[in-house]
Amino acid sequence: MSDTEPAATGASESRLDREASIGALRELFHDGLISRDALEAAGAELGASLRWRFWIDRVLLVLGTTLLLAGLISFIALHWHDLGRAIKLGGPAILVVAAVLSAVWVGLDRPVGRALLFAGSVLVGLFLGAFGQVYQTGADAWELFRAWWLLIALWVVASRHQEQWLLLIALIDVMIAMWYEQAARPPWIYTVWPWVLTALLHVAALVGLHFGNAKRYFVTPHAWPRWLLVPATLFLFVGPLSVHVVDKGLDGVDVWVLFLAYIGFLAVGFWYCRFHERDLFSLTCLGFSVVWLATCFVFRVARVFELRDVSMLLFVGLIVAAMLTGLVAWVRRIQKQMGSEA
Amino acid sequence: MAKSTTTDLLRRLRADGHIEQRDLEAICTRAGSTSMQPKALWYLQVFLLFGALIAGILCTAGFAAIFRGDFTDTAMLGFGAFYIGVAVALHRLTDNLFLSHLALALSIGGHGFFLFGVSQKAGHDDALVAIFLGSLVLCAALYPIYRMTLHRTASCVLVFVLAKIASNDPPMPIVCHVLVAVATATSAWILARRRCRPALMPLAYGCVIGLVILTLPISERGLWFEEFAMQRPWIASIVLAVALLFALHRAAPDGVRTQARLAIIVVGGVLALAVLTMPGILAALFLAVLGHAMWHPIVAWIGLGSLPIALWHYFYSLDQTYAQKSMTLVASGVLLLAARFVMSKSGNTTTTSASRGDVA
Repeated sequence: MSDTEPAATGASESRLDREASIGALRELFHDGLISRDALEAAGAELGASLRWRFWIDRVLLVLGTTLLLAGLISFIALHWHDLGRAIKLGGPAILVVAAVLSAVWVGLDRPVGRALLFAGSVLVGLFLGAFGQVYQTGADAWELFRAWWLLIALWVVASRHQEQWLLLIALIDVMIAMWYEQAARPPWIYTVWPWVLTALLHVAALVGLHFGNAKRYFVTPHAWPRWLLVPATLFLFVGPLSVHVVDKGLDGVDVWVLFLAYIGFLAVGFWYCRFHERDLFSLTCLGFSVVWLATCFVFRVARVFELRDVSMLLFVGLIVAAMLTGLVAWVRRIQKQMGSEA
Repeated sequence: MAKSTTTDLLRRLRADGHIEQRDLEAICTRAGSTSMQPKALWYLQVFLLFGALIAGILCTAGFAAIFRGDFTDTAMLGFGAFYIGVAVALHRLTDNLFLSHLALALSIGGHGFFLFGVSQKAGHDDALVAIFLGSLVLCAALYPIYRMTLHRTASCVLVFVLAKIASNDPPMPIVCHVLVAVATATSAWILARRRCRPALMPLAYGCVIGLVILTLPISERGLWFEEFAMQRPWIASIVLAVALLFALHRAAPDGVRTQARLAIIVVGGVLALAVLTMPGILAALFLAVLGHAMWHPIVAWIGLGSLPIALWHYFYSLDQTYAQKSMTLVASGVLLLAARFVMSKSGNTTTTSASRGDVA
């Protein structure tokens, strides 16, 4: 072939001489360098021809299951007064048992089995809600969520799927939030301890995700739960810290514990995402949380020194722009380093 | 099997005639020159926009406070235009990253000043329409000269946001439907092109997000189903049904496209969706299918992400009793699962010929 050889022309070794992937070709297409026909030919050659079918299959499964569950839950909720006690309790219970047994029968590793088991986990909540209504126990809502996650915990562990674990963590989160609102007594209600607790739960979940993937506990190792857990954990750290920093500074043992835990999370998170998992999205989230908290500190400093001058706003605005520049430059540098390490 | 590199694959594509010689040369040149320029990350752009918004608001408030906020409407217009001018100059004349971010923040502040000045000048009754037209003028004027994807996309989205607000108060259904048609046609035209034009992509993304904003029950106060009611929704439904059929046609594999029976089922299904549901559902499906088929995963995700909200809105606003609503939900779920079952049973024959529209 007398055509220009990409490698022979001294073109970027790093980009073109890596293993061919549909992502790399798509990048060339988005840059206007190859036509759609060429991209589709490359897709066929790289075995991407079943993706379209896979996509429709998943959309139909997720959407169909969601609509079915929503319909069943609303049917029972809306016909509450017309239904007998046996139906009120028996209906959801039968649905739970049917969903879980069907999931086991179909196979927990198959998409349908996973969808059925997830439906079973959601229907447990419906059953508990019905139970609480039939036998007015006077229990708080947080106790319902406690019972919920405890009841599904067994099959969540057995399922070995990330989405089940995420549901379990979400239920515990809601339980803690509701407990704080409904049952916390002084001195808890004046502290940030529930935030610390929830954040540490998320950190434990991240550690569990790592070992679950590494030790092949999860049926299919996936990184996507981390992309939900890292921003959520950062929110739990930075949310209350921002309020405290602007309002009172780092005042109180609980706030200091939260702050130090955040610093620890940053340090370990940076090491893990940079050198172990090479996860640029999580690194960007970590960086942005630092920019956010630093902005709060700047506001606090302005408040402490009573800088009420209007130019203070301008000054803080420039600092925010400068910090963003630092963040972008840092992320790009790491992106480049990761590219050359690949 | 030995792993083949991108170079090997490009070489094979060239040998098969899928890539032209000049394209290959352009790839080599570009790859060489941009080897040190990493790919733009969408999430970094989101963080950047958020940060620039904060910086822009603070800088603008600071400047305004220096002048004690004592502006006439003309002074506001002038000040906004000056701000934007400085932003454009900073962006075009320097390569400095900090100045580039400062330019973005200044442009956001300048937009605020300018549009506020426009609304003051127009008076209370015409303020919303004037702001919309002002944003349209700014977008059209800045698109060719402020060559930053983030700025261009955000500017286009702003136009649609303001258009939606302006067309709702007082209700101007025709404006809304015209905008839906424009957003649909523009995004389809750009995304379905045989070859991407990077300069047009921000316009496409702006139209895609704009379409979601126009068709979903999003108001300035978030999701407010009661407040949002599109007048004569069938007009937008017809437009979006045609667009969905176009997207499905482009997405269908060659072997499937020629099957008359399947075509009748698909057309019937889309028409049923258009008659029975809302434009938001059609818009979400259109974006999901078009994005997936045309190799634009971000567009597909925007479509899929907006689908649950569209469905929620649809079931929420159904004129049925609660019992009927829950039964409709169950029936819809069963229908989709049945469709999946049928597809999985009849799948193997069609997948073998599926060479088009297979997206990673």
